[in-house]
Amino acid sequence: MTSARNAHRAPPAGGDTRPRGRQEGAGVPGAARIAALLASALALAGCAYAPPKPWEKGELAKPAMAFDGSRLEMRYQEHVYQSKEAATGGYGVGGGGCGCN
Amino acid sequence: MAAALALPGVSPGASAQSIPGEGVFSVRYLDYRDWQGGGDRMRVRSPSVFVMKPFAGRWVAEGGLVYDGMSGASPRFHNTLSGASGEGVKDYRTAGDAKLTRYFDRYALGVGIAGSTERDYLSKAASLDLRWWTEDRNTTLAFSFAGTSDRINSNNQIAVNEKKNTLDFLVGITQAISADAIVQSNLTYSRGHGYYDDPYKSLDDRPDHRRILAWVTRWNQAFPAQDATLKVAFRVLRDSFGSTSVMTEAQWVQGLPHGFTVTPGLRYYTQGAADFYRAPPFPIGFVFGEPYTADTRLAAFGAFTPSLAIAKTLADGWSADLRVDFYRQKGSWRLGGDGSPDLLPFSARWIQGGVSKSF
Amino acid sequence: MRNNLASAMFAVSMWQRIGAVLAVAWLAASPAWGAAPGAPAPPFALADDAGTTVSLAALRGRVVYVDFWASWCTPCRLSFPWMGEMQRKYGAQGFTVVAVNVDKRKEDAARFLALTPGAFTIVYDPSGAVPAAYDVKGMPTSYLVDRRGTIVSVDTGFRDDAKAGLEARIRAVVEAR
Repeated sequence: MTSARNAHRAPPAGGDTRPRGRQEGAGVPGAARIAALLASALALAGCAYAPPKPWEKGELAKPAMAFDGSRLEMRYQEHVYQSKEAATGGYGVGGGGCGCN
Repeated sequence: MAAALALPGVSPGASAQSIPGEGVFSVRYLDYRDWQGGGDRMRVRSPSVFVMKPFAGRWVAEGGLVYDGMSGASPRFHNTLSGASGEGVKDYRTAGDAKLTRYFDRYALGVGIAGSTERDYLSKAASLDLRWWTEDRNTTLAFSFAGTSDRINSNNQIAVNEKKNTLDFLVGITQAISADAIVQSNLTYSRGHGYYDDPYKSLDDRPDHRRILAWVTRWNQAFPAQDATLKVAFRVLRDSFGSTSVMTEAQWVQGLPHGFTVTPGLRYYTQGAADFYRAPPFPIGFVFGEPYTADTRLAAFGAFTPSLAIAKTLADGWSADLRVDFYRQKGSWRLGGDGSPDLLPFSARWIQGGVSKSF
Repeated sequence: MRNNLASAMFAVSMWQRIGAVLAVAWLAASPAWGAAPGAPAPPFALADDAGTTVSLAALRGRVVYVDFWASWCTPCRLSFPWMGEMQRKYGAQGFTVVAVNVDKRKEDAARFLALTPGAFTIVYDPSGAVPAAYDVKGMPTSYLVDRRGTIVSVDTGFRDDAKAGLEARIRAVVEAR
């Protein structure tokens, strides 16, 4: 099997006889609220939209500003989460940097 | 049962719209441990290496290797309804990838391959990615495509030469919105077909195809006066297995004297259960011949991960870092609904450290 | 000490202001397409480490290689040794490299120079007025200016495989009479 990080949990000791029917997988009602929040954050960003000139990218060039700082670290993180959560991925390509040539 | 990488071979490395000025060599080590209730369960030790080197003016080659060595009670037995468990198990996994990128004036084209092998699972992948940027390099568009082919031969002969094929697509935009802020938004779609069951779990029978749509947005904001950076990430993901999940994460990278940084972080994740998840040990609603799983990875829950990292950069191209993550998962922490009943709180902690040298 | 610092700061801001004024004046007088080959090189007057003003006008009659760089620019680490070599090889024939630093903080530039020294003229424009006047598209960007003050070529970015072509162009301009 995959790595042990694919750790699955032991079934609990029996005893509970409450009905355990199917659960709604889809329901994350908070998602709409979060999306609205995010949209307003983006709108706010729109107000602050002042793309830098090529000689103003000193801050953006700092390692901390990179989306994909350490590849090995990112890979460990993704791999660990993949082993215990249904969702995975969504990243993939980099960005940022000094905007040098 | 998960493939080696989320979007294999499309892993990022070289910077988005410019040829890296120098190469990088990194080694890293991970020590992972998880537990539930009383006892320790699994332990994983995982060393890895990564090399990236620009050459001939416009080319970048990069490649990595990861080895996982696991020990402890195998989760595969833990989770079977038969209750057999606690058997001492040793297993390993080796994964590697390589990528070649050609930079042009306004775009870059990359091809990659990736593979991973373990006793019962073989995975191979190839990828193609294109990045295009505006003349001012403030906007980068990315398009990626990857194909993965897996082969499963379980040790218990339940899965014999089973296959799974997956295609992944990504469209993304990265935008510098000011001299101090950059935002990235990616949409990924994954479509797979084949063997999704867990051969080590009794009666486990999942659909033979899976579609996943994920939207990730990340925001990095510099605070030059504080010598700090705030990194925020948000992901919503919808899965044809019936589960929707939300992930949100924040990190504060604080610069300190002498090239040190300290980074506290917090991640929250919540997911709904798959349509065919039934809680053990008496799966109410189970119908023979219909999809069924008791895999807790497909249950409904929430999870928090606080983390702390320390890094030091030296002037001559060396850097080193150490990071600790502590993960706790509970049914009751699910957002917007009840968690799956009977989930025992689950904990894990992992420590990783690495050294890098630019050359 | 305090007075020295204050006067140094004044000097910088004064040069910033002069640079900005010159840049604005040039922008008003120049065509919209900016500092392209064939156009006159925008004038500037910026201070070097010693506080001496280096102006393009004073270099008229020499071939000038104006290079915009920053401490955070990784390709600049490749261009510096090469520019030093060009200065050494062609200096006697009337060739001058002027590297314009665009860092907001001079300490960042100093840190870069401690690791990557530059054996040529280095001046500072933290205001960004001069790169704006030159319409710099990326880091680094260099402008080869002939003896009459006309831009011969513009190069954005620096790669090892472009060195030979750049040097051939410099030699041609230096040897042109």
